[in-house]
Amino acid sequence: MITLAALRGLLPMAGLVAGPAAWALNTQLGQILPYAECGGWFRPSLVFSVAAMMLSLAGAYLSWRTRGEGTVGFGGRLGALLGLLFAFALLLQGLSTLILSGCDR
Amino acid sequence: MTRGRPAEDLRDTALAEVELTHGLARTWQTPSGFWGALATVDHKIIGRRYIATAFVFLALGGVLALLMRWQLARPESRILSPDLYNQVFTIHGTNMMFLFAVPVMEAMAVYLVPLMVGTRNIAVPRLNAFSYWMYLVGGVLLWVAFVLDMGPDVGWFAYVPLAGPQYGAGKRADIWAQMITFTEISALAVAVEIVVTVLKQRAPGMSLDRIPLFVWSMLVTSFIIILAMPAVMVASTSLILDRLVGTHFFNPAEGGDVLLWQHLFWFFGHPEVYIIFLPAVGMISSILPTFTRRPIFGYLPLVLALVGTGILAFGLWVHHMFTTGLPRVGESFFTASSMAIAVPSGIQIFCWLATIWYGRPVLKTPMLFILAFLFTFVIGGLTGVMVASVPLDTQVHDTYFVVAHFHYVLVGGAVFPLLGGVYYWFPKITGRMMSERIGRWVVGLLLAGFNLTFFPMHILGLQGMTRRIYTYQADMGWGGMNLFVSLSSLVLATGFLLFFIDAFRSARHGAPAGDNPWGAATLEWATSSPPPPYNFVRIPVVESASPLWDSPDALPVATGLRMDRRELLVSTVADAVPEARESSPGNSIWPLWAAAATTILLIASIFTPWAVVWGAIPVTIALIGWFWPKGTPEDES
Repeated sequence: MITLAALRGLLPMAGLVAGPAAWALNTQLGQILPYAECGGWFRPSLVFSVAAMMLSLAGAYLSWRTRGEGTVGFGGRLGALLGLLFAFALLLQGLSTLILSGCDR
Repeated sequence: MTRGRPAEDLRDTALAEVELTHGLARTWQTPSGFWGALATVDHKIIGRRYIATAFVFLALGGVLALLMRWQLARPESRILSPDLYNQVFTIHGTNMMFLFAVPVMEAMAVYLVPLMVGTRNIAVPRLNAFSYWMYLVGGVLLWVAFVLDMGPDVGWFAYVPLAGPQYGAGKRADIWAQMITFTEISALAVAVEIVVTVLKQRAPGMSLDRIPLFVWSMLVTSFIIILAMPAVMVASTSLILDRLVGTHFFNPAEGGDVLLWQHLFWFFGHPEVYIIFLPAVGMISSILPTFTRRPIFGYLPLVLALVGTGILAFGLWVHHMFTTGLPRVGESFFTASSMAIAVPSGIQIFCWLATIWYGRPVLKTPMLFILAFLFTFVIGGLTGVMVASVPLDTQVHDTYFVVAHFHYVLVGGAVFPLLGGVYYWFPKITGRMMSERIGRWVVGLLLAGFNLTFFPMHILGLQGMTRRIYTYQADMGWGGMNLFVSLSSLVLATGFLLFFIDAFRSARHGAPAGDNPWGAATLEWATSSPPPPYNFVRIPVVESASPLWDSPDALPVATGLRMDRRELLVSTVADAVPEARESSPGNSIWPLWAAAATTILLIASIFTPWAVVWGAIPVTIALIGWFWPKGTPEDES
């Protein structure tokens, strides 16, 4: 059984996992959704990009909260910075959906 | 079973220094003679072979580059035929990427990582020996095919349908595809060894925040290799199947997809750039503190940059495919990631500048290479941001602008730091110094020759000169610039020639180096130059990220390892707390036999699919022989 303490031990990894995972998923969605978006008013790729960015920021925050000494603190700070980096990449991806339509080839 | 006196306590705690040293040398030595050389699993010997072989391929690839520049020096030249030119540019690119750039970085890691983490050999050392033989055969296959006029002529990325059965007659594309298999097997094997070595064999106390940055870079690089290279192996195997047994993976007429090739290739191909680049920046981050006399500025941001780049590298591949008609929104996601990856690169640049700014720079040859890198790589990075943009990339796609860009990134970004690394670690590897005077000439010639050769290519590209053309008409107006580029390439070649002369001369006649000639801080300098077969008499204990600076008199050591068998210390992943003593396999000829059997299988399968069936028998026999217990002390566990 997974205990609360074990989950807390994984918190430094939150930014390391959440940011890249959200970005990888959104990058894949960016290849699929344009076909569905072309001609419609609803832009799911924008919604997913914003949601992924928020997820990445949440991961960064959780990692940052675990800051401390030694390798745990190091992992937490690294996770927080990685979460921010991937949130930036996702912000750029979201902005691109505002500029281009799904129909552009 | 022991080699010495089984009744005695043969751990290093109970032995005097001389007895221990002799015993360790006996246990870890590589026997002299031909078979001893073939059977060795010493990471230093294999690393030296890897490095030397990779530099031979660099020289060969450089000769091909000069041939191309000779051909393009004037319009309508007839020095190389169109067919030969196709082979030359294909083999130049394939050779430089698969036989030089990736292997040489891994080779440096094979030699240095065990020393830098304070262990006695690389993990899975027989796999290491196997990987070298596979690499060597892959390289020989490519070059023998070229000599026999069977050299691949489909470009280093072998796009279908050109490389497919319809247009790629003969066995040229098959040679390319199978060479990929050889080199990727080799690269994957080394990557696994590095990951295990770094995560489980670090010296006590070398926690994650004390690992040398070159080691961090190799850890990230190894994970990239493990995740990226299977894609190109799947692609090249599918290509062989299309060509040999009539599958239709890439045949649209039968439900296949031509673009699938590009996706598979570039899913590997773009991370490949970082497989080459990250070790180079790791070298810079490890060399720079030595020549600025201070710890690196921004250890955490530099680790962030390595990890972030390693992950973002997997979301950039479509920027090689902007002209293939994919949806613009989808492409723009890759533009976004390509822009975002400039952030960790920028972080590294600023951390290095801050290290120099706050330090006391000593302008020795390795440091000069770092300065040459900073200048050149920034230009390559800027053009990288330019071609990451769809409109600009559409204009310059397949032109010499792109040729200029990736040479700036790969030569400026990777070869300059590598050569700096060779000047830096040469004393450790050979026990002798390279010439400082010649080194300065080498830096100067390479920096000037490189920029004079490749900067004009940006302009040629903007003028419309496309890649891979074997000649051009005089009225295109490219003749003068091309002649200038070709003449400049001679300056670049002179720089490389001088480097090779210096390396050969210094290996025999260089000044003796001593253990730590640069006054460096990391563990590889804590042992003799060249290191003994067992690397360290006693395993060092690390108490900071700069152990030799923070414990200048003597490093604390861990004891308790046996002397009568090859034994390593295994430690925890995060904090490097000692966990166990583990045996390390001894010398064996079986990796060579396994590589020979695999070679027969792979080369024969270019000609008949039945080779996979019949060839599996000798491979199986070789593997059984490899793993069969030999009754050595290392078999005990």
